[in-house]
Amino acid sequence: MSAERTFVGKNFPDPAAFEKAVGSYEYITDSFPDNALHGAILFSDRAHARVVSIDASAAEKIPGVRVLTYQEAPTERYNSGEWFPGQDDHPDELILTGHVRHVGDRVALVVARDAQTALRARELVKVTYEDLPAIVDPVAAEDAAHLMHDDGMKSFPGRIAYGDVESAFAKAAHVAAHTISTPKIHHAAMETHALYAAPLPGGGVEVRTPCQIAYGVQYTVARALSLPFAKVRVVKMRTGGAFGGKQEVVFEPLCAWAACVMKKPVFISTTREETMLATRTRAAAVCRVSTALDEDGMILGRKFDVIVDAGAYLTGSKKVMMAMGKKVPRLYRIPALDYSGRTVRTTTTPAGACRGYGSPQSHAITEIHTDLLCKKFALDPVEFRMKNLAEPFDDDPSGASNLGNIQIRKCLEVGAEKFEWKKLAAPSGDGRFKRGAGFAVCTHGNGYYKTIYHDVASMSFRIFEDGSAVLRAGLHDLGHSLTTALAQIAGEVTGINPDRITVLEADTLAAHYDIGCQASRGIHVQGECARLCAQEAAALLCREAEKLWNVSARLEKGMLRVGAEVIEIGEAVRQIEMKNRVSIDVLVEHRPETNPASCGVHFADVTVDTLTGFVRINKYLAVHDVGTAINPEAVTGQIYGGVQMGIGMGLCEELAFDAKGKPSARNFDKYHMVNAPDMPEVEVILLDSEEDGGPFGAKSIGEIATVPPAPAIANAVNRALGTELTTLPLTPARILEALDALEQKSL
Amino acid sequence: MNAALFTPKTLSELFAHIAGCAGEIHFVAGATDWIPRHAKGLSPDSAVIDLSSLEILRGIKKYPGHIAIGSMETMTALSENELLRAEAACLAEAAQKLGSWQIRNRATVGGNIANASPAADTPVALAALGAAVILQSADGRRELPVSQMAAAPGKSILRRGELITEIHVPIDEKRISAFGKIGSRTEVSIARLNMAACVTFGESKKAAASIFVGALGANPLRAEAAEKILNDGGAADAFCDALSAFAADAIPGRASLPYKRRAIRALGEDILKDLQAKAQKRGMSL
Repeated sequence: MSAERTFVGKNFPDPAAFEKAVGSYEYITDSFPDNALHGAILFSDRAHARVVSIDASAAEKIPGVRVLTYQEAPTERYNSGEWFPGQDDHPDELILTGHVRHVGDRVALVVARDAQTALRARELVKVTYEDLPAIVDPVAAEDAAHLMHDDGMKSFPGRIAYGDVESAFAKAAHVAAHTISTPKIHHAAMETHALYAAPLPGGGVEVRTPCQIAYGVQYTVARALSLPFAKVRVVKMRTGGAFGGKQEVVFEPLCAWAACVMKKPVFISTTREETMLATRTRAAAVCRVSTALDEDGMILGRKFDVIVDAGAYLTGSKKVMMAMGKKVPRLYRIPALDYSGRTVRTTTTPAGACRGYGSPQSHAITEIHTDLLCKKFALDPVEFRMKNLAEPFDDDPSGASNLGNIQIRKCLEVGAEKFEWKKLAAPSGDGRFKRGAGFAVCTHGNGYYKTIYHDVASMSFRIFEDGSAVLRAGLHDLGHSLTTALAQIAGEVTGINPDRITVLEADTLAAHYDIGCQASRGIHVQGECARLCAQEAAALLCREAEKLWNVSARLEKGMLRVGAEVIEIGEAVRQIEMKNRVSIDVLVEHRPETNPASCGVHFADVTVDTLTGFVRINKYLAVHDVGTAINPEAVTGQIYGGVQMGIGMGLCEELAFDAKGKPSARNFDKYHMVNAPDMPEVEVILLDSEEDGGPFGAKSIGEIATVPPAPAIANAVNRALGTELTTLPLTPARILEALDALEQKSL
Repeated sequence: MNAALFTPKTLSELFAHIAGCAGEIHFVAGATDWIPRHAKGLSPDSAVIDLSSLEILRGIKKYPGHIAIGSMETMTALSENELLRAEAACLAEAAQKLGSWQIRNRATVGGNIANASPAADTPVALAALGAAVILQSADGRRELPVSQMAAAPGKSILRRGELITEIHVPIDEKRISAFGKIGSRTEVSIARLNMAACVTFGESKKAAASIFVGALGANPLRAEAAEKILNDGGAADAFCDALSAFAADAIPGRASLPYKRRAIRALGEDILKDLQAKAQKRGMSL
């Protein structure tokens, strides 16, 4: 166990929690400048069509209304998932388009003095379309790619491979293969997409947006509008949830362009339907996965043939496809791997980042497959995993970072014991209600170290004259208490109470550089940067105090011990500023040298109603290795939310499109998430472990929390019913279809 | 021209007002469906009649032989009403299972009928109870069985300027009833299937069942074969088989049929179990 700590490891509620609960916390929609024009985006109601004509004359007769159409918009194509120059993500998206590729594609922006007028004017814009064939099946999308895009790209392939896979399969005692599908999912952040842009005096534009990568927005806006980076100020605004849905740029280039054209601030807000159909989704995947085992049940090799559905534009979906593969060598010891995939485009809402960035898809594929292969070869699913799971400090055979102190075996051991797996493993129930249990193991990263992306965080820390402090950083708190955790870390180092530390967020012209809220890097990378930065500031304070008073100085319980005396930090800072003419302000840039594996296992016990296909979760356990939990209540909160999202992926959430590309759901009336009455009690166990390279031994939780629920539940349902369901979500209709098939077979 | 709002206190005030209205007439009760439907605005010259101040549309009162329910009574009021819970349990249960707490606090029984949604919950229960709907317009009063209130999905038989004032539920102290629903989740869900059953015990101990199923057509449909099996004291399996066959007849070839044909058995089982428990409490058996 670690040394006694004052602030780290203690519960600090989100300072805005009360305001958020009562609805008084102001987001950008509640608090943008009065002089802004209102923009209403004219979205395509066609899945795939060419605009033959657009007539805005009636709309523009309304005083103050201006209709900006695709005909005058910049023609520079961009990729919304590219967050740094030269990442080489294929650019195929425009600010506005006359060739619409999904219901919700952007044709025009109607600008007016107020929202009502903008909406009324939008109704008056007449668009004539010539329909083109909808392309909705990702498996067949390559052959129709030329109808959608004229860039000659059928698909975007990628591969991760090592070892001799062919000989692994050739000498295998057992081989099992399954095809597993995961759905397109809406992020469902409470705050729908909204943003504001204003021209800057002297040229350039300021964009205020609740985003996840302000510096990525800066890059894309600069690129799309041909502006110098220095003339694009992106300010990250308060965010009512993101889950990856605000990671890619969506409306920022459009809003910024409109502000430049109108020479006035422009505010754009979207409805739930618009956010659902016109922003981003979790990428759907379909994968043929096969595993070769030796006679002792050890994995010899694994093969993947995966198709990822990017939707209408490539976005970050190729990155997602690659990220899916990168998880594979980091959980089980797999001597030989061939992960081959391709990302295709369909006339559906674009995909992109979504909590886990491919990890929930990848683990759904491997963990459902693993359970089914255990069933096929009569292997105990816990023993099989205990044999094959990674050990602490294993190297990643694909060449990525060392796994660090990965405690996945410990997680499984503790979880199986606590969940009483041995007792619950056998299915029960012989009438209408069948009971079964399942589990899934998982891993996720902690930043970008040793990937093709650079990882760097930059922060400065200044102690004020009253002993309070500011941590200036390019952060993006999305509601997940990141700023609170960093205040705790800086407080732990300096002894300053976290309540007296302000943590600032991203502003591309005023804050320090950071690559954004992505890749689960918040705690391990940014948290470590905060720790180093606070440590440097504390060292500077002590050095300057020693210089001033000629005795040794050190921080002790939030006070400065100077020789035999103990003085308040603020007093020391005042003296140092006046007499040494030095401010206690340091800038630290952190370049992580670790990217360990966070890990966990989730167990679910379910009852399936074999007449209705309803799945009731009776009992749920989540065991995680997060290293040190900086703010345990925030960690468990992340897990509760992650489980809720994951159950949705497992049982009910799916953005489906019919053969004509029309979405099956446009709002929460048809798109159902798991609500409180169906949500199980979630028991959480956090292992007592520490991880080098993270602040006080901490690592990530936000994304991994939503990785294992869907496969854990699918495995439980399959065990309860004796089915081999592999298409998520397991809706009542899919469950009954499988039961009907099973009953037909046994007749 | 904008839509005009009017809040009458009496029916005569209401009818006098709408006599002068040329455009659409919107009677607004709980507005839980009306607001989302018209969020984008109303056509010009629409008259919006707020029914909330019409005291005559309120109250749940017992009369000899029937209970009269004001059309503006909310789902919460119905589900918590002791009289209904005792004498028309399936209606209180249907009201209890509709939407969310917030919706139930506003949504009215008159609105639930007038809305004419095939998936509506209270009309199914009311149909099983043999309820009559009282309609009034400037031209007078008429009465219809609740199972004839929808002309088509989403379209009621109400004439322009006609509104539902009351629902009359016949009562019989020898009757028990039960409601069941399958939606997309346990709560806050629209029915994919719902069903209500009433059983009235006769002198000779022989029961008379009334069973209606919703979400298979514009109006609740009567499941006569299932009723007969219940009347004859048939087995649960036969009862569920009859319901399954009934669903297959109601929506032949529909994509949702494979699901509904199986799921309706669950409703049958649940409702039988519920009825048996209720019968037992009264010293009877099915």
